[in-house]
Amino acid sequence: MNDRSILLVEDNPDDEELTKMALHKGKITNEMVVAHDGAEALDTIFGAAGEAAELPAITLLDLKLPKVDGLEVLRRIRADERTRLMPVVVLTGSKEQEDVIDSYQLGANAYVRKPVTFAEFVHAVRTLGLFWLLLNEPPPARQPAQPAAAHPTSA
Amino acid sequence: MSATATPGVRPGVDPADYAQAITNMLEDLSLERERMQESQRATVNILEDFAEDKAWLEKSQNAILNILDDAYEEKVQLQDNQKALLNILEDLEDEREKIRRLNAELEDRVRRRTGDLERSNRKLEAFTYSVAHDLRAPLRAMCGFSEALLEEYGEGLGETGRGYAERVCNASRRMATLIDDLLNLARLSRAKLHREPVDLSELARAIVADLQAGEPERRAVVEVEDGINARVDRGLFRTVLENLLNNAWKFSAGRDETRIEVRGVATADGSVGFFVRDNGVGFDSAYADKLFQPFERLHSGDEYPGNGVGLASARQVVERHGGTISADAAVGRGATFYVTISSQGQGTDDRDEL
Repeated sequence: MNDRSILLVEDNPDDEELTKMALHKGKITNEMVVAHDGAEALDTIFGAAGEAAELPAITLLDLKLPKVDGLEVLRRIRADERTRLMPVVVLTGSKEQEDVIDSYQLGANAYVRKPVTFAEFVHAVRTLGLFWLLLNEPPPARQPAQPAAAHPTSA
Repeated sequence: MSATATPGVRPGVDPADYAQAITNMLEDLSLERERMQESQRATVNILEDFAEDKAWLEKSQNAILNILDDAYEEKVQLQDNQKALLNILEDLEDEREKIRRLNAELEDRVRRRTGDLERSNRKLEAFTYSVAHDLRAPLRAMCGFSEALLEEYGEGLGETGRGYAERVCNASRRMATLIDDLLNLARLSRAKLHREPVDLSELARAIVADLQAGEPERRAVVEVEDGINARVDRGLFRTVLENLLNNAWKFSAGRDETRIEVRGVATADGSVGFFVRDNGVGFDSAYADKLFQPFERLHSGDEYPGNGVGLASARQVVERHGGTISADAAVGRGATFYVTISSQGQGTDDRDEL
């Protein structure tokens, strides 16, 4: 299994705890880093990008966040050459069409609605973990300089 | 030189010459006189001619004067007409000014109303956003931690304690569903209408087929009349038919044989109408109006599960299509729901969005 970290961007301590419990129940042992608002998320991500440290294998991003909201975080991740390929899954309470469309338009890799029951929540988090940490081949930690601008997304 | 001389005669001039000269002069005068007489005659002739001309001219002048008189009268009349016309024009100008003012007022009012609506729409959207994002989080915590409690500490809780924890979780789940239904209802009122010709008969048959497939052992006779067509939003009208047919199916569950009828109704104004009738438990018509209010239920949730937004949603959609929905029923004798849809494509139609 991929040993890179999971970044959880979540302001609600209950949801943070539930996510931790779900990861534990799903036997996903990767380090989980938590950012409690959008600004902290950007600091975490771009701090890592600046130090050429490893970017998280997956970022679980809530949409409604203090300071900088989730969509803005996503926009800035996609706007920066160093982070634009990193996998971001929107994990939020809403399934309003606008939220879903906005998220995909800004380049979310997936959109998952947090289920209300714990059993379903565990199932969702475990499935996400297994997919993004085990099945999915993440982009290289340090993205190489683009050899040609013609196919920027095929790298 | 002689001292005597004939008076008047110049000395040195022969008197015979004089006489001759005078005779000549007299002859000349006589000729002159004749010429003058001739001229006079000619003049008299001309004068006579003039007199005739004058009479004619006078006649002409009279005629012209008459014409002028007539023309003057005409002119006065025309001036009167003109004044009348000018008055009318002035009145019209006043009217137009009035209309302009009314239009300006109307535009102003529309602008203000639109502003109000936009503001309340924004408020509704902010409200919806908050409901969608914030209201479920506490439920997740309630259900999540009570389930965790059951799993990790269930032994110590005892049976009653476990039952309580389960109730907490079930209630949170129900509330989550209620929130979703409420959001759906709000979405129905905001959704853009994309009207297109829809075969409602076909749509109804597909829904009934799903219901029967979900409960193959149920004996059901479902009649759907062909050719119920209307220009409606397909997705939204699927919601309407689903709600009506789900209800018909649900409330006739206890019958030996479920009977559901969907038929077109002729309407006086050419709008499209249909009804959905079942042979289910029915309800007291006195409460028919309550049915269409969100979260109003006429049956207990234990007997017939549901949360009371189905018919409210149906009404929302039908009314947005400029139509009406009503119900007719009696306890124990089934229910009939009537729907009409304006054929004019009235209601908040957003075809230009396409």
